[in-house]
Amino acid sequence: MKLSSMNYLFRQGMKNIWTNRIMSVASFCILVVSLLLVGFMMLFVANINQFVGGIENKNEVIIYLEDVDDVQIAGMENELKAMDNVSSVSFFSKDEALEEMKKGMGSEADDLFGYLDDNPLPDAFRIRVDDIDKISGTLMAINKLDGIDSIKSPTDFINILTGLKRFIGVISAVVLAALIVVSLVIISNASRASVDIRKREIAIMKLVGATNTFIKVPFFVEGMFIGILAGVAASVITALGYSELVKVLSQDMTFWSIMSINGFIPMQSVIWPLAFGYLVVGTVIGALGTVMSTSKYLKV
Amino acid sequence: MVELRNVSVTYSNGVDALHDVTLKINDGEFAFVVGKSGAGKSTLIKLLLKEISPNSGKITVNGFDLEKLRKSKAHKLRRTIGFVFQDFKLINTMNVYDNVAFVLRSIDAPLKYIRNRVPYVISLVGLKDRVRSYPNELSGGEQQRVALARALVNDPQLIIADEPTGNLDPNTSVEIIELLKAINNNGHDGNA
Repeated sequence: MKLSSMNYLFRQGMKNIWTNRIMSVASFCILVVSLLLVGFMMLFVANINQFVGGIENKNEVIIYLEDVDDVQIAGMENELKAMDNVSSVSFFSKDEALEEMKKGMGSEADDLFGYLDDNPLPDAFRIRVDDIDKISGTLMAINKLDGIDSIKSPTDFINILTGLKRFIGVISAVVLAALIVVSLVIISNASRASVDIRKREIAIMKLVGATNTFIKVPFFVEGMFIGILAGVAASVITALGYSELVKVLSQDMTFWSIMSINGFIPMQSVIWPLAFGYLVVGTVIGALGTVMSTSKYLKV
Repeated sequence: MVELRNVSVTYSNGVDALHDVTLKINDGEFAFVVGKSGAGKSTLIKLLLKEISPNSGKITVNGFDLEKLRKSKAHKLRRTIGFVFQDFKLINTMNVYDNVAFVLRSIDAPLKYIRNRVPYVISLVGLKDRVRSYPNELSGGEQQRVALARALVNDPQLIIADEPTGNLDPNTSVEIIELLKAINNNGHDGNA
């Protein structure tokens, strides 16, 4: 196809947006709303994951030891480090534990601990795990080591959290899929309506000998351009709306403010990938939607 | 050139539109097809444009064997035919110039050729002053002239006119028929 023809078809597509401006505005609005629904759903899920992930990071397991000597401690440390799923091991001696306790108690501590000739606190290891889902296996392995008095781990809480995370994952996947399907159906119907208005035009073009491609390109340009505009609009609305939402939710003493202890995902770190996604999805759906609905009338 | 041999068309609702039709229209001929409504005139035109295919028989139009021509290649046949319909079939969102130019644009004609050819053809049908008008701003006779200009612009081997004067008053009808005759004298088939 010649450049002058491409130029003509491009201008024709832009002109069509204006000629069919009511349908153009309708498709634009539907596309923006669909993109926003999907976008905010994804932001919601990302924030929940960040929240749960933040709690998971506090996955400290404390292993209290029996009265063991330095050699045994060094041996245990090596064994712990060698375990799968253990990300960090730090030794916390009974003296350090006592210091920390004194610090926590303030001035009364000297009175209280002054009477002790011996430190009653045990030595301990503090470890972190890589994958919280596998923590029960790790705990079992630790239990088999010699010289362990007791283990303190947040197992119950973790079980609830991992369950919650899985639940949210499934629910959000289902809702996202449903949203995407619904938007696709709405948009292809909207553009079908706008193509329907022009079916007489398409039939005439076919009769005077235009190829299907020649007829489709302006529709393609039109859909693509509306898609890009919708992507930009959705990005702007998300940028403004999300930062405002975070501000409001962080002020209030609600469930959300508990979440925000961990911090909401800041707008700056999500807006660019999200805007990129909006543009790509908007353009593809806009272009495909119109082209798919044109095909029905190209069989003259 | 148009040739039909033993062509029959039966629609899916059982209507027997054409039955064993054989005819031949030679180059340069000006042929009329007349008959009551329902006689199959429109069916004949749809066959020639390959909008529909016959149940049996063989059709040749401008050297195309329509049986072998795939539907997706129908535009190649249609580019050799100019048509004029009773209801004009103009694109209402395009002005006179663009309606006529569309035919050339769709075959990727050079811009320079389009710019020369389109005004020339429009002046042939006497609409030089209405180039920027839209179809709904024109009278029926003027709209049919635009359709005629569009039919001519690609210099087709065959012009098909389906009741081209059906929507026009007698005086305008005579003008259109005179135009068609003049065009035929310049070397096109006619079929009204």
